[in-house]
Amino acid sequence: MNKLFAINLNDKMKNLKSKFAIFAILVSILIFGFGCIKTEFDSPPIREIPVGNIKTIQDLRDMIPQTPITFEEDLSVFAVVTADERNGNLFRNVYVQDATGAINLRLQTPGGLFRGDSIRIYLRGTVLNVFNGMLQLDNVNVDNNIIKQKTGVNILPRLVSISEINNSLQSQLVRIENVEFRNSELGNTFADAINRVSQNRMLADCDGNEIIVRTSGFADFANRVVPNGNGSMVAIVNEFNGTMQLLIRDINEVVMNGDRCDGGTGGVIPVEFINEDFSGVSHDVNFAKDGWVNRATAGGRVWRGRIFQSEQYVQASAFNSFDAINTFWLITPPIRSSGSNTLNFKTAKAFYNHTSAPLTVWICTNFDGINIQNANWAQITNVNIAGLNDPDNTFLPSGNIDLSGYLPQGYTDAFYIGFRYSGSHPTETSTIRIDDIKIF
Amino acid sequence: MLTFSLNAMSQIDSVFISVRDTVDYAETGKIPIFSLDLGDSDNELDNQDISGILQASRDVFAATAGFNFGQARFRIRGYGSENMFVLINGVPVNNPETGRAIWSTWGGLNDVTRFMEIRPMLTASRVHFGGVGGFSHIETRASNFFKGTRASYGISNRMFRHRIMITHASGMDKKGWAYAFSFSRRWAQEGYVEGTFMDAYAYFFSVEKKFNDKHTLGLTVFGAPNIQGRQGIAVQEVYDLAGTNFYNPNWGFQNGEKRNSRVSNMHIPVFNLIHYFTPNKKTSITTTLFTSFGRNGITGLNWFEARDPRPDFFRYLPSAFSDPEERARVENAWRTDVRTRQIDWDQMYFANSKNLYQVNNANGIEGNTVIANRSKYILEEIRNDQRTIGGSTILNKAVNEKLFLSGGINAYNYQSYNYRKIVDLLGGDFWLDIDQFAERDFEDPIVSQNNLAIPNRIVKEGDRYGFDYTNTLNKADAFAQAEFVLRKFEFYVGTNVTFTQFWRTGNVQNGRFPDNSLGDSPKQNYLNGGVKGGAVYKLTGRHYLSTNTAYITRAPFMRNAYVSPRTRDEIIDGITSEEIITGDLNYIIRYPKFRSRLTAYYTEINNQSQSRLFFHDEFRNFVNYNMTDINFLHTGLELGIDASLTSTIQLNAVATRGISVWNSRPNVSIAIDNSLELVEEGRTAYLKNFRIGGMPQTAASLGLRYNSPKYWFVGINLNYFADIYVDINPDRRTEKALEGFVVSDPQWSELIDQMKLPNQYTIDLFAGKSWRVKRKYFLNLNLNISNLTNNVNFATGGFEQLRYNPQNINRFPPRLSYLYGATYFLMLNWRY
Repeated sequence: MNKLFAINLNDKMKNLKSKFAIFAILVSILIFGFGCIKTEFDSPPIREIPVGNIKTIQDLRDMIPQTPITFEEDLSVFAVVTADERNGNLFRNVYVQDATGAINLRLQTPGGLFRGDSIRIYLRGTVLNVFNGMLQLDNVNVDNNIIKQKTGVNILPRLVSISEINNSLQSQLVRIENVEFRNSELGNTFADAINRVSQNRMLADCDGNEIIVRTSGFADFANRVVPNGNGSMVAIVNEFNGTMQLLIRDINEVVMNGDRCDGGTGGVIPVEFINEDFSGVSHDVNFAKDGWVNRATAGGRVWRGRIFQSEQYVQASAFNSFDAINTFWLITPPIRSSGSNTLNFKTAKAFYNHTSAPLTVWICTNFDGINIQNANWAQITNVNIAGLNDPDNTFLPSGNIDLSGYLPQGYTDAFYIGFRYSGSHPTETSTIRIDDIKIF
Repeated sequence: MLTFSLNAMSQIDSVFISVRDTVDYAETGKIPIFSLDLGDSDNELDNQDISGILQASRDVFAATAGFNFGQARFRIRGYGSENMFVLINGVPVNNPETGRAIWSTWGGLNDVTRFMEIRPMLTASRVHFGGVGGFSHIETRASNFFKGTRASYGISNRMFRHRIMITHASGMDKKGWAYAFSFSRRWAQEGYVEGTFMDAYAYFFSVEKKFNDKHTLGLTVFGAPNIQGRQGIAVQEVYDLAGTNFYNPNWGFQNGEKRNSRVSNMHIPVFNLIHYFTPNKKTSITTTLFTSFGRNGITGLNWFEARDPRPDFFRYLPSAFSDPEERARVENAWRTDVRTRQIDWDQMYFANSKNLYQVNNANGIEGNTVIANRSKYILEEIRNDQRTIGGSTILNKAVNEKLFLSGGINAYNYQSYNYRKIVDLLGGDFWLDIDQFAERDFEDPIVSQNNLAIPNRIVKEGDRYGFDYTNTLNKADAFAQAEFVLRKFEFYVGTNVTFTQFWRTGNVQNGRFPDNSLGDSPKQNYLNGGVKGGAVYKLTGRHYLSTNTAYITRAPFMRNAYVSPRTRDEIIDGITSEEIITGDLNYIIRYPKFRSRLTAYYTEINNQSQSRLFFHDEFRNFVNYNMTDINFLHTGLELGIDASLTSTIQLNAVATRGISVWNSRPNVSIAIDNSLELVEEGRTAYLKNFRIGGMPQTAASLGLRYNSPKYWFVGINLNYFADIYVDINPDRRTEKALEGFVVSDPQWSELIDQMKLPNQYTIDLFAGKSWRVKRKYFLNLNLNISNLTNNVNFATGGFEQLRYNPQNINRFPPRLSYLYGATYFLMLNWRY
């Protein structure tokens, strides 16, 4: 390039000088031009929301609005979020509580508030009203009415019995113990997840007191079968036109695996054979089906439905669980022994990183449907299960396994088959798939 | 078209013709950007400046149609720009993934692109097989530029306010050196549409060294760094509330200043090294090595656990409220409160500043807890950076006076780098790299992770997040052509073979698709080819009959091949090569003072596939809407007349009536975007004979021009446009959508009928004067006024929203775009 210019400069030095001068001016106008386009912006000053007078939730409850009250002055309430929208059981509303009481917040748009958030609610613009018997603070704009103070604040639920629940506990977080779902509810799911319809399940204590547990069809546990044992539950007290009901804020707080009031286990009638191709599973939704048990004995993971192209199956993984140990079981409904039953299924593996085989298969005759650890499980050996040296994501048949040797001679009662996955993040991880379980 | 055959043997150089300089078509032809819901921003990136070259044609019809109809988004024969190849030094520069020609890559280099060879329809071609829509060829050889210097300054009220351009060419010196360069800048703090801005530079440098009569080497570098605040288009309700059809939902006030949320930023420089080899006078071999690489992105708002910050979101419009009092309140807010009508940046900063949030196990580190303000709203940039490297060789040989042979090969390797990047946290401290829809749909928090390698990843300004994948495309193409000239006949035959290979490489493993989001996908390979031929019969020396025909297959465009490349490797089931069948018949008259062409054409483009992402009310989820077996038909008539009425008055008239329609019933499958669940298969979309939307299919223009012998001119054009339709939503024409309705229900026709936009006319004026100063400088002053009558109600196109409610179709009405009102461009040009 230099050479090039040199040649030309030599040729017409004078002429070019003036030419280049003009260029230099024009190019500099171009580049440093008078028309600078502004594309950088200052952060705007953040406006302060005044605190004003401080009210308690009890102050709000005492107002008992006959017609909706719109707050037009600077008022604030300090409270902690006790139930949020994360599991889908609530939508566009959350529950908050302070030392004096609790209230339901109805949000203009969903999201932004989480359990444990300690917040200041700036009341200006919100509306206090009663809807179907529930006192609620409506028209809450999370951006404009909520100022977070802190996160991770844990409010302990108040221990109550079913008979103590009345409208004075509205919106409060409670814990009830020694309760079970009524016999007629056993086998039902919490709600209709397919059609996304809310449903009621009747919860009872051993004295015959009953209360509704209401669950949204959008809740991510809506498709789970209600537990058939007796135990405890943490919930929000709700009212619908004088009828009290409970809302589950976290399905892990429903722990009902003890003996029922009548001493039974909720009893499932044994089947003659099993032919499970998992065609009913939803992708990445925990497997749940009448009669089947899918439960963890350690860690938070359970068997999960998967769909890959047309293939439907269940899958186990401990990857990224952050649990020290993951142990979870997929247990068949009880099967009536014919004296010569055969088990057949297929497995596939991927991301295999184990020192011992993660999937083991077990049989027992005394599982109560709830307490996995109390049953006498015997391991079924000589089963062909996908392992380290098998190809990834390819189903491997187990072969026909004769179960007669694992059951007493002439046994005609029920037995259970359990598929146990054991893992640990990050040292013992894999994905293990099971499909086409046949027992005949 | 005919140009080829008339000039076939003798005048290859004469197709380098000059464009009228008064209008900067690249800008006036700019199309308002379609702003769809989530997932459509990909298309936006490429939707810019897809045309703008046809006006340089010497063909009577094409020159006027390209020039006067471009503003109304007219497309010759209804073809998309993927059907026309743009070549630079023999190398095709259409975007390999979409097939489209992206004008912005060299926008502002008008002095360079002015010297362009254009074949606006399928014809003989000596540099490339071409497409059904022909090709245009820009040669950047330094010695081809007129020796001298040009400098111009223009002012306008269109996309930009000011333009400066400087170009200099040395001509070939005695030692065989030639060089040429050009610089320009176009800018506007605010363009015609409120809230838009532009800051665009362009540079070009070409040097050539002739070693001897046989060997010449050329090097060319050019690029156009280009930043623009974009316009969005809205529904009519919003235009009416805002009181203008040029309402722009993309901007809002921040700290009292206008800030645009959708800013495109592109700079993809191109490098060419060219060897011109002429072993003898009848043979030339041109070999080009090329590379281009650079950035391309457009910003947009993203939000999480917060209200939609876009002002024209359908729930914020008065029509969304049934209570009349509430509706009146919202309507009043729209009319009087700019915070309602436009984006409220201050409010987003405010909301971000106090959204304290706790992330457990942040960045995948157990026990690592982060408590800080999590941004609810951010400004992100969706990037589509790219890199191409390749070469081409073209041989031209005049065998004898009757036969001319051409042939060539070109091959390239292309990669695009696709990811989201955080531009501005808007006052918050961090953003969490998870997918909000997956978080809603699935119990397990791992599923919602966008990057399983680093769960709960904290991301900040400048970080990539969301998705990150690389597309690779390899292409090799060879063509051959023979042209024959006989006394009464001229004819040509040509053929090509193309090999296309592409695949996706996921750079992150996401929680929704751990099995097929990471790593290389299987390679897709396609082998395609085409044959073409044409003939001219010379009735007399002034009257000609001609015809062209072709059968072409081409690989599906990569952009259409994957269901959801942002999340996974999944090819649309049933995708195949596309097939093109075309033919035209022309009658041409050529007298010195009267030129005319009448044409009938027929083209089928078959077996296309498409995938669209949108919120489907039936499934209450974002779905991938995949269509295969899509056929299009383009047929119609074209007439062009150019006449010199007197020695100073010239008349030109063009008219076309086209029919561009869907020509099949595509096969639809629908999958939920966040899972692989196929919720619908074998659904039929009854689309046959629906019009292709977004362009006038009938257009006419009448122009008069007076050329004074005293070096000035003035002219007027009257343009008429009709048969403008809105682009259809295929799903509204399915059995499922109509389920439950009978033919007499109002919903039936509301769902099915295609909206036709009103017929329109525009008047354009142009004038110019030139002076000679000191016998060696030339000064030109040119003025161009478009849409003289300030017709601001000219809807040039639009599209039906993909989201729809069968019971109430007006819930999601079509979005419409309008032609600018009266605009001007005034330019002073100095030439030495």
